[in-house]
Formats: sequence, structure tokens, C-alpha cells
Amino acid sequence: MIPPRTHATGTNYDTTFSRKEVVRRVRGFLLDTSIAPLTRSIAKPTIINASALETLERPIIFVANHQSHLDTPLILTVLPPKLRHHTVVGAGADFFFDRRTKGFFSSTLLGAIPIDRVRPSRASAELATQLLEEGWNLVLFPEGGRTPDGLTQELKSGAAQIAIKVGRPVVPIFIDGTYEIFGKTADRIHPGSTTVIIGEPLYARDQERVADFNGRITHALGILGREAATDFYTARKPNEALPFPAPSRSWVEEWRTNAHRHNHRDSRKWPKLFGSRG
Amino acid sequence: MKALVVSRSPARFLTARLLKDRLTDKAIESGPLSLKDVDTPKQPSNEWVRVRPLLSGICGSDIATVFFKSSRYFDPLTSLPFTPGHEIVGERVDRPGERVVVEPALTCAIRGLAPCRFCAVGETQRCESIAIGDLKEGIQLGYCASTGGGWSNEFIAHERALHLLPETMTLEDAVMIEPLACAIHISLVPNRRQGNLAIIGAGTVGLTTLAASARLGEYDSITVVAKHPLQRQLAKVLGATQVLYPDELLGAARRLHASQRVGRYLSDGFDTIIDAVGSTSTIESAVETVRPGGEVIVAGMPSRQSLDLAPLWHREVTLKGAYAYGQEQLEPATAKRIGLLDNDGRPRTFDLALHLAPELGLGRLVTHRYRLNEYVPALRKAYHGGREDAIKVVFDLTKRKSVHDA
Amino acid sequence: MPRPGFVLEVDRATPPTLFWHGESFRLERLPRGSRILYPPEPLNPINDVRAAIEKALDNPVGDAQPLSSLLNANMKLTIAFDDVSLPLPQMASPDIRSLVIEAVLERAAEAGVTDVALIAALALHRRMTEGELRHALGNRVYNALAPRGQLTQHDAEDKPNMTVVGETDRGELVELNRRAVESDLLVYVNINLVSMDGGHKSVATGLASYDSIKFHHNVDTMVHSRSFMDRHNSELHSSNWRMGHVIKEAGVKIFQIETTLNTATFPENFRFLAKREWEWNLRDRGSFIASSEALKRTPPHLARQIFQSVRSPYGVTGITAGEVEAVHEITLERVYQQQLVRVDGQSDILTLGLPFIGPYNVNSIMNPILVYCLGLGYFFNMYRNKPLVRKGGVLIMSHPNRPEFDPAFHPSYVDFFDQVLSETTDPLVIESKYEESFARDPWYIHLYRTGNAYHGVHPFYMWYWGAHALDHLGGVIILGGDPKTTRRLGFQSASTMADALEMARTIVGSDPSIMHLHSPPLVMADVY
Repeated sequence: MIPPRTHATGTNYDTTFSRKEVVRRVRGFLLDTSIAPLTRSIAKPTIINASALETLERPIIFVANHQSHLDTPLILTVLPPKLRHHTVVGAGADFFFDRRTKGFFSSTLLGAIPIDRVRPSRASAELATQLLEEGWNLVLFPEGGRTPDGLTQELKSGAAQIAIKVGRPVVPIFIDGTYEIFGKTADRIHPGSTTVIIGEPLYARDQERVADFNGRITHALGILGREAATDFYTARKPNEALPFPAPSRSWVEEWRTNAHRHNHRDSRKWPKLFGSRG
Repeated sequence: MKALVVSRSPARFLTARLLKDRLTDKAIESGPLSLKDVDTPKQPSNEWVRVRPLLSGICGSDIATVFFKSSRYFDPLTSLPFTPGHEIVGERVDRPGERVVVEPALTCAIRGLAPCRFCAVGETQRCESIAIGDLKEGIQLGYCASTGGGWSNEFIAHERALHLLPETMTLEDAVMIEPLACAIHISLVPNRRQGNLAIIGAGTVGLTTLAASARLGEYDSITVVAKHPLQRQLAKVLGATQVLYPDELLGAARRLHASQRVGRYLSDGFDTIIDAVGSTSTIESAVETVRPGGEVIVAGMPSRQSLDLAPLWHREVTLKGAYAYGQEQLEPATAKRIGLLDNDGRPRTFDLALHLAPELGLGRLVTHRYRLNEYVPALRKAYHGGREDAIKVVFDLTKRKSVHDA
Repeated sequence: MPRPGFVLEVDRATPPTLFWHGESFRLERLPRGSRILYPPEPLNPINDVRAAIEKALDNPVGDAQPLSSLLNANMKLTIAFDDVSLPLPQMASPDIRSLVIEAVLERAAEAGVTDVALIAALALHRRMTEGELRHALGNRVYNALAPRGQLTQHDAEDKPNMTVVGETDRGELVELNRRAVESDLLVYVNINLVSMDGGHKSVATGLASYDSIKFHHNVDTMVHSRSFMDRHNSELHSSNWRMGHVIKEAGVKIFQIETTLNTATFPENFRFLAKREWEWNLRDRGSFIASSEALKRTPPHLARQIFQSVRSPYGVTGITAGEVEAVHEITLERVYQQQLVRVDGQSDILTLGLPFIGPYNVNSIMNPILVYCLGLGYFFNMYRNKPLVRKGGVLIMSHPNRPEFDPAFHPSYVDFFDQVLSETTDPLVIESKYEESFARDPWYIHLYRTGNAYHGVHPFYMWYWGAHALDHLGGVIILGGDPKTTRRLGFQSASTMADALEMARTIVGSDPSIMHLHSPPLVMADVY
């Protein structure tokens, strides 16, 4: 006997309940008291240009590169509370909403909404647009999935399209280091440190085509990515190859972009007493 | 005359059962068994004779009775009070000096009945008449109130149950004939007596079965699982290819054909396993280490137990019992190999045992002898068995005055 | 200036001597007149290891070009490295292998070499876990190569990926990892903890198949390796060197990088282990009493976990790169400089304390076969010229020797112990009667290839490793060893040192000379 289905899964999963005031407050409380401290202890984020977040007014579209499942809690952790508590996150409908319990926890704890990443879908786009118009911030990972090998992937244009439609700014965020902590192929979490660089808000120009705006977002993320590996000024030198998207997928590329991460942490942190240098 | 008698007393049964491990001596003393002065039972007909035991063995099933461990299934099949002892070499009272071995089964012929359908074809161990006829209930002499038993100075037996001993046979070899007959039957139960055989347990049943299987089968290897030093030593002598500790069995079964193992699952194993212990753990490990489609013979007397039979189902294992003996079917080649020339291919098991006893020399398994009045240490020794370097413990009744009187 | 090792004669003033005893210690008072061989103190390490690596890569020894000139964008580059069996215990981060491999990869990246493969040279050892690989290589190397499938572990049973390189003039088959052989350059990164490691053995054994390894891992070779720690008197090494020449003639280009460590084996908490007993100060006594009392009350599996988490603060004493033989001669000099101590005359009895770790039980259990191998294989062979104990003498080694096995890492060891040792302990009989069936057992092969199990034949090699000692010794006594288990190994156990010496006297005579090999750290005797 298959029980009658009252709720559908995937993009049809209804997340309305997770934006009710009481659920929103509970989520805010859990974020502030457990998810954020836990994320800080695992990922030890250094935030660059955090002040850019102070002046932002809801609703905003945050666009970030995607290295790990840690990215979502990490972004929510670095956002100031006033933004954090009114944020929903675009999550792969095929992964986070494939079962109803999973969908329930994703949407309750992280404010996830289902996004179809297999093909452009009207339903996802309409939901995102509607929520922005209601005043919710939206976090999107336009790479369409975690990086398989640590290198960046091409941005899909959905975020740019939605931004043009609602006329709200896009804030690029580059996350560096979560791949090393818990990448797609990792079997467990290896706690480490991360850098989160906040970019300046980008507004779509008048009559700007989606592809062009997406190109500008890509360029901005590329600069931030280079800044994560070098410093502010080097990153903004013209004529330097940008890491976004990665020009090749060979190990050499990964080796070069991660030159700044000499990470010799002992895999076992406990007990420190016996010579393991944490 | 003196006899050890098991009498009806629920309190004593319970005491024996509760104290058997911690206070073994106390358990025996306050158990259902006691040494009494009793009369020799009346002979039901003139075909019955009085027999004086010379050596009388203590069998695992006797121990189970004394300590009240045996399955309640047997309760209605015995008649209290009885004198135990069914592994007996003795002499006839009417013909002093004539040594006999007793075949203890109380079958139709012995109960004065027409043969039942099993007795008619020689399968006397399956006789239907264990509770009717001239005698009270009892599957064997030694469990029946009407006959007495071997743990005494005298009992009665039917003439047809007596087998005359050759002059040259020692008493020790002779007292092992009844256990050997069991072993011969066990070793002839497997469908195929080839490939790799394992015997779990190396008490009397295990060791005699080993000796019989080595002689009657054509196995590539015989593996014996034995815990105690003397058992291990004897297993080697009696023809085991390898002797293992219990926890080594699974590894050895896997190594046999270099098969795959996933958890407790084995893709191959022994062709046949004879369980000469009959406990939960041995039956389970037998079912797990026999090859898929193989046979497990339960030869040690089991009682109520809870078993995980998933491997039995999944690996299509056959679980078979083997009890006592009657008449065997012997291929001409095997008969020829053991030098049994003059037979019709269906020898009585007891005759086979008499035939093989001299060459197997199982008298060496008789490790301890006690007088009847020493029954407490005797039973303790038998109960502890291999742990105390004992295999077969017997009551020695030869030193009795009455022998010399005659 | 670190002090050299020396031989101490026990007199009335000598305090009791420290013995390893598995995951604990014993203090034993040796009879007056006994000699104790104390290891040299750790040599001063190189301060700037990274610079030393760069220098070695740029200035190779022997007939070799600097690494950078050997690299180009279109080449096939393979880097092989020693597995988790070295060093012991594992080195505190950063592991020297990770530093060397990073330097090599840095140059490969500069040259734009995209076809790079890293191979753990396991031979027939168990596969390393992700944590162990990350520790040995560092996260940067692991993250750059592992997700792309460019970090693999040698699989001696993967026949399509093995290739026959040739045969030596004695008919020894050389069959190696195909990727390594077919590369334009094979870089081997080694850790030379003891003098047995390195040289041609790195590639000829580390990347070989069972069919090739069996030509030198056998009883005959091991009995004629006197000792296998002395490369120039070791038949094991002669065979590997012959194979090395075949590999070279076949055109395989090897750039060997060998590194040596000092003997700073234990961190601060266990400082007393490396000090000479009469120099223990109050703190050392305190930490000895505290740790040995605590260990007595700790269940064995917990004590094992504590010890297995020790990371050694080894210092690097040298890095040499270039042509295999030239590199190895320099390496051996460095190892000897750290470990060699001159000893005059053999003794009737040699005593040893066996530690919790050997090459084959990293993060695992020291089972009885490994106890045997550590004592009769490794420690006994830590000599040059002559063994420390005379022919027919007695070895007394201290270890609990419990019958415990790791079912995941050592599945064939269990069966070896149950089935082979219960039949015989004679290496020659074991070799001829059982080796083939264990080596070809598909279940062991499956676990070796897909799990973290040692190859089915590995326990046999452990037994052969001790063949020379078995041949040489008149008796072996395991002090504090589980009696039943010890008997299965063919030895006797004794509960006290006095008993052990008494038992030994029945073999070597009433007034024996006694030598104790003090460890940690490692020491090698040069016996005249």
C-alpha cells in the first residue's frame, strides 16, 4: 500500500510553510545559536570586505561559487543577522527535495527552495522572482552544482535573468577553502580555514542582455577568486588570466590556484598531546 | 545386589540441574542417582538371562539424565526407577566365563512382539514398540525399569541381545563396541563418503566416529575440532588430517577451496560435517561451514535450542540426525576394503562393530575406571570430560567378590 | 653536538634498564657484567628543509640531470613514494614525502606537465587509507591529484597494468607497474629509516608483482642475507640490484630522491624513552611512573590507540637526488652515521624490548607473527659483520604476544597462524607446502585489491624475514609472552627476566655473556 501523497517532491515540493513567521524565527534562532557557531568552528572563515554587507538593503541576490555543502551554512554565517534571517537559498531540487523528509529539513533549517538544475524551469524562476518581490534575499550557486575537482565551472545565466527581471542588485561572493574541508569526493570533514570575499553589488544596466550581465558577474567573481589567492591589487591588475571559469581542468590549474593554501594540518586533531601538531 | 538407581524425585532432579556447574559433587550426591540394594529384575520369559557386568561405560546421554539436562521429549520414553548403563561387557550368570557384549535396544523381538515394519527390515533403532510389550517404557536397556542396567552388579538381558566375545578381545575394546556401533552408523549416514569431512567435537562420539569414518569412507581430508590436549592428540592418532580449535573452523573451511567470505557467509566449505556435540554453537557453525548443498549430521544428543537457520535456508544445507544403529547398507567395495567378505551387503551394525573393534583398538579411549561406590567422582570426571583429560569413563565391576565366588 | 652511541657495562651503580613491552614498558635489572648497547643521540637536523630539497633537485649526484631539465609539457611523469610502513611511528606533519613531492610537482607545474601520476609503492602491503595518504602527501598534493584519479596505489594483482621488463642473468623475473615503466620519467621519493630501505629495492620491490618479488623474498635469499640491513652482504639486495640493472637497461629513467631522518622518535611526553636511565631527572621519573602505571590500567585496545596516535618529531638529516646507486651510497653513509655503534665481540644472550609498532601494524594490531618478525627479522638483523649474539645463542625479547589479529588488515595472518603454524614452524617446509596456495587465494587477493588487507603471501615473508635468525639462534624466549601463543611460534615464554635467563642458561651454559639492545631509538651494531 502506497500512502496517498499529500505533498509532491522535487520542484513541486511546497516550501511555503518554511517562510511562515514562526518557522522563520525558529530558523533564525537555530542559525544564530548552533549552525553558525558550528560552521565557524569547522571552517574558520576570514571575511574580506564585510563592510559591503552593512549598507545593503533587502532584497538582494547573492551569487557564489560552489565547492561544498558547507557553502550554504557558511554564507548564512557571514551575513549580518538582519539579512540572514530573511534569506532563502536555491538548492538543487533533484538532490535536496528528492524525499519529503530531506526537503522538510532543507527548507526548515536553511530556508532552501527547490531549483531545477537539470533544465531551465519556469516554476523555479517564478518562485525565486516571487520571493524576491516579497522581500526575501536569495542565495544562488549558478555553477549548478559543487565543483568535482576544486576548480570553478561556468556560470549558468539563471541568476542574471532573475536579477534583470526583478531589478534588484547581485552581490558576488567568492568562497575559498571549503573544497579542502569537505569537497564532493571527500569521505569526511577535514576542518580547516576559509576565506569569504564579498564583492560590490552589481546592477543590470538598462536594456542589458542576460548574457552580458552574466559575463559581468563572472568577471567580478573571477577578480574575487584571484584576490583570494593573492591580494587586492594583484587581483585587479588588467590582462591577468582570471580563474573564472577555470581555463583548463588539469591538476596544474588546481595546483596554481591553490598555491596560497599550504595546508599541512595533521588529519587527526585529537589527541594533541602525543605529538600531532594540530 | 548393589545398583545405581535413578529414582523419581522432582526436587532431586532440580537440585542436580541447578548445582551441576558450580558444585558438581554436591549435584551428584543430592541428584536423582543413588547407590541402592535392590533385587535383580524378574526375567519375563526363559529367553532372558542374568548378566553380571564387568565394565560398564558412562555415556553422554547418561550424564544428561543424571544432571537432568536432557530434553523433556525423552521423559515418557523411559520408566522410573531405572538403573542406567547401556555400554556393557559382562558375563552370563548361567555360563560363568562366557563374556558377552549387550546390544541394548529394546525392540519388538525382545519385547516378545511380532516385528514392526522397521524391525522387519532391520532398522531396529526406529522400532515402533518402545513402550509396549513385556517390558515397561524404555528406548534402551539402561532406561527401562524392567531390565536393570549396566551400573549394577547384575541385570537381565534377552538372549538375542547378547553377542559372544572372541577370546582375544580385551575388556576395554569390548566396552567400546556399543559406542563404536553408534559411530559406524553415524559415519554411514552421509550420502557421499568422499571429499572433505569435518567432525566437531572429540569426545567419545567424535573420536569413534573419526575412527569409523577414516576406515569406512574415502575422504580427501578429515578435519576434527577439538579443544583439549588429549582429545587433540588422540584425533591425530585416529586419522585426522588436521585438528583445529573451534574458532579456527571458519578460516579452515574457507581455505579448503580458497573460497570467498563476506562476514559469516562462505561460498564453499566442507562436503559433510558431523556434529558430535549437539550444542547451539556447534550446529550453527556446522551449518555455516559446510558447503552449499552439503550435509550436516547431528550425532551428539541435542536438546532444546534456538538456532539461526538463515544459512541453512540460503545455502540449501541438509540437516540430518543419526541415532543408534540397526542394519547398514554397505557397498561391495567398502565391505571388501574392511575385509568383510562373507555378507549380503546388509550387515548388522553391531556385527560390523565386532568386526572392526580389534583393528581400531578403541580400548585406548577408556581413560578412567571407578568402582560402583565411587560414582560421585566417576560422574564428575565424565561430566568434565576433555577438560580433565577424560574420554571414556567406565565402572569397573571385575573386582567384585561375587566373580570369584562363582 | 649529539653524543655517539656506546656500550655500557652493567655494574652495581647501574639503574634498571628500560624495556619496551608492546604497549607498555618494563624496568629490568640485568646481571652485573651484562653489556647495554645505547644508540647515538639524534643528529642535528637540517633547518631549512625546503631549501635543501631544492638544492638536491638542482644538483643531482651520479649520472643524472637536474630535475627541471628532465621535464617538458608533453611528457608522462610518474612519482612513486614509500607507503605507510615508513617512518615509524608516522612523522609529525609535514611529512618529508609531502615536502619533496610538493617541490617536484611545483617544477612539473612550471613545465606544464599535465600527465602526472602519483603511485604509492605498496608492493604487497595494504592500501593506505585516505587519512594516511593525506598525512603522507599533504592536503595540497592530495586535493590536486586524488579527485582527478591521478593518485593511485600500486596494485600487484592488476595484471593488465603490470608489464614484464625482463629477466636477470639468474633468471629472476622483473615485472613492474606498467604506468611507472612506460613513463618518460619515474621519480621515486623515499624515506630511508633503516639501511635496508632504498636503492634499487625501492622500484624493484615497491612497484613489483608477486611473481617478481618471490625471487628474492624467499627462505634461501633471507638465510643468505647477513644481514639484510647490510646492503653489501645481503642477498636480498644483490637480487634487487640485479633487477635494478635490468630496469635501467630496459630504458626506464629513474630519478631517485632519498631522504634520511634522525632518531628523534618520541615527542616531549615520552622524552624519557630516549634518555639513558641514569640521566633521568625527576620529571623523567615522574612521567615514566605516570605513563607505565596508567598503561597498566588501560585496556590494551585503548593503549594501542594512544600509542598509534603518536607522531614523531623526526628531523631531516639529508636529501639526495639523482642516479639510484650513487644516491643510495650517500644515504647509507648518513644512516650509518646516525645509527651505527661499534661493538666488540658477540654475546651468548641478546635481550630486546619489542615496541608497539613495526612496519606492518601502523594503525593496527601487532599480532604474534609480526612480533616474531620484529624480533627475529628486524632487531636481530640490525648488525654489520657478525650478529650481536653468537651462533647457537639465545634471544630474549619482551612483548605480551597476545593472540590478537586485525581482521581487516591481516586476514591471511589469522589463517597462517591457525593452519600453518599449528603444523610446522620450519620456514622451508612452510615455503614449499603452503606459500603458493596463500599467494593465489582469490579472497586474499580481493581484500588486498579492494580493502586494506596485506596480500595473502605477506605472513610468509614475515616468517622468511626471521629465517636467518632461526637458523642462527639456539633458542628464543619471549619475556611476558602469552604461553600458548608463544608455543605456537615455536618459542618458550617466561614471566620474569630471572626465569628467562635461567632458561637461557640451560642452552648456552651457566655463565653467559649478555647484551641488551636498547631501544628506542633505532641502533645498528657493527660487531667485530
